[in-house]
Amino acid sequence: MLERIGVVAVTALALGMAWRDALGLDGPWDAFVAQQPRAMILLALRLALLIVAGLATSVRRPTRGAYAMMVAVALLFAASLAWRLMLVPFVAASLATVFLGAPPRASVFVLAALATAVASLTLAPSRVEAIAPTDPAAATAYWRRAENPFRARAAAFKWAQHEGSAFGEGYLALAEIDFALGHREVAERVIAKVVERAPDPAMRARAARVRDTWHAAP
Amino acid sequence: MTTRTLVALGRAWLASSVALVVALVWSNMDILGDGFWTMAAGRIVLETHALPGRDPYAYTSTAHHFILQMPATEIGLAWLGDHAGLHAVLLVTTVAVGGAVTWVWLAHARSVIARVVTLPVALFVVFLQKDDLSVRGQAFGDLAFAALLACMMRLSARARAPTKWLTPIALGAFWANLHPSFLLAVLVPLLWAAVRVFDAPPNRSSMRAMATFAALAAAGATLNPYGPELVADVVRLAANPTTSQIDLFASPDFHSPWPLALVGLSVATMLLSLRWGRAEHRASNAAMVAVFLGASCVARRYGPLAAMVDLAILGGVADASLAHVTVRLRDHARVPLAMATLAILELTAAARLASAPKDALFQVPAASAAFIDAHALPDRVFAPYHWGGYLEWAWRGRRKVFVDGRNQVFPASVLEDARAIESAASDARGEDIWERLLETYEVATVLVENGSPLDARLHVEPRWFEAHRDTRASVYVRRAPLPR
Repeated sequence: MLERIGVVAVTALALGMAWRDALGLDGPWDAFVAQQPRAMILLALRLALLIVAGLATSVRRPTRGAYAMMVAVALLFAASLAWRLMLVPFVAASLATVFLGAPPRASVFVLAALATAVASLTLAPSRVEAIAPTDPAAATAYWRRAENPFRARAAAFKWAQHEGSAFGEGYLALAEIDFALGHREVAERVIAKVVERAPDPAMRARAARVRDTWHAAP
Repeated sequence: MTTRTLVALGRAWLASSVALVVALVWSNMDILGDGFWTMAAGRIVLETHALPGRDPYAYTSTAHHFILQMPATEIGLAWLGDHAGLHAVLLVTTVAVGGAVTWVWLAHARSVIARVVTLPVALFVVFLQKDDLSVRGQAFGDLAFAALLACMMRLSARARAPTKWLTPIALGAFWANLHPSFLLAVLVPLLWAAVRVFDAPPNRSSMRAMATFAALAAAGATLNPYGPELVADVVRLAANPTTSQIDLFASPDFHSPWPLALVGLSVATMLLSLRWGRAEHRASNAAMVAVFLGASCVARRYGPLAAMVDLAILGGVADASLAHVTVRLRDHARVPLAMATLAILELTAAARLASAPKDALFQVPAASAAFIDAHALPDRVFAPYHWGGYLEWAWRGRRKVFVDGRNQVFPASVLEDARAIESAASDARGEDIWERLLETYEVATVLVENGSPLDARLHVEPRWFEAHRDTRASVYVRRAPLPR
């Protein structure tokens, strides 16, 4: 009874995943690409089935029919990499080969089914690409964190342009990035504007401190 | 025919076969961007007699603490290139790749018949990587991988394997100084030990020896100019998302025949190993083939390694299963004639492959790079990713490049932007992203491949003018300086 439950569980799971992959939105005639979501799980499934089918064929003295089945499994394995739709016949053929050769214990199937299900649930989340914010101040901070001073400068330039009369932070960021990029003259010009004309005295003092550190540097 | 003549004929065939393998490697060997930045990095050490602290070559680099990840390869190839020329560099790399394949072939197929049968597989290992063969540390990494395979097979063959302490330490140290793939010296023995669970319990005795080998190889890997820091840096490189964006680390195209041929070879090796391999390890060897088959499906880089594992295991299978054929053929009258004919055919093919003219600068924009330098065109220069390495080598640090093949020193966003510029990308509204990006990165000179999308766009863009064009590349210069 346990064996039958195991067999039904793993067959349903494997065929379900194969079918879902093959008839997914990406196209059944596409080739396998490991970098796509869930592809690694399906590759592990393919390899596990290939090994189990090979072992099952070699355990007993194999018949000519078992050899023919194994060759078919091998061809379908390669075909499933070229056209994802072929994953369905590969899974079916490899399971059939396993049972024609030496049926493994049901517990192996139950474990495999559980492992695949857990892997599917834990490894499948789609990748979320980080997107730079549109707000210039946030974008400046984002690109500085991402260690891309050129992108940060472009964002800081926009930030400084939009600051209006209450300018300070944007200009200071722009000056710091220009300095880091080696544009010392431009940086000096920009920071001087903040030190001399920023409406906030605290900002003027901060900019002066930054400029002092530049001058102190060799 | 005397035994001595037969032995001499066998040796002649062997020599011609090795010559064919090496000639096939030579005919496909090139120097691309990776080879040039490798030499450029080593040259700094030779000129300054110190390890560079900061990346001296790329202006978008964020490597605050710059580490040479393959110090021996970089310094060695730089010295060779400067003292003996680029053809010597090509030759040494050819010998490394050819040596790796030959080693795996000859070390695991011991009988003549096994060697005859597996020679096409050895040639396939070379053929499989023909488009990727180039001067780079990977060639020396593959040589170390061949040594690792020999160690693993030797450990497998012994019922009780005493681990020689020096071998794994030496291999780890040798490999870590040559190429970042030294992590395989730790991973592969651990994997090989793990797949031993497929063998019957009495045949699992080498598991502990393999685990010990992995630990000693890891210790050996710290014997480099940076110590454990280099190991940590390489682990960071392996985990870096930009590594998976390199085409070598993407899946092969399974709609083309050669990746499918590799799959066929690996599956056949698995089945042959299960049927005719050494009884005590046939299941674990088949599982190891499956592991490398899986790796080769994930990334093109692992294809040649998987083929080398296949070659090693097939050699053993052929030795075990074809012994009776050797006995039968020994007295066959036509065997000497067949061997002599094979040797002559292989030598002829090798001579043809080796005699083709080779231009070490065929793949790079040598004339355009010289033009930019000679006319002191304005910085900063944008050039495609795969030419960055050559420009570093040619300009010797006189001007910095945008990006090159050392993906670990660049933020992911810079590499993405480089791709967007190269492809002259537009956004959803049809606005030219590439032009905005060239401004963002303050690019004043662009070196493009003739006929590329960027070449077509710059050619009609009034803000840029074409300063130079040769058979391979063109140079565009911004008409007016960028406002500040």
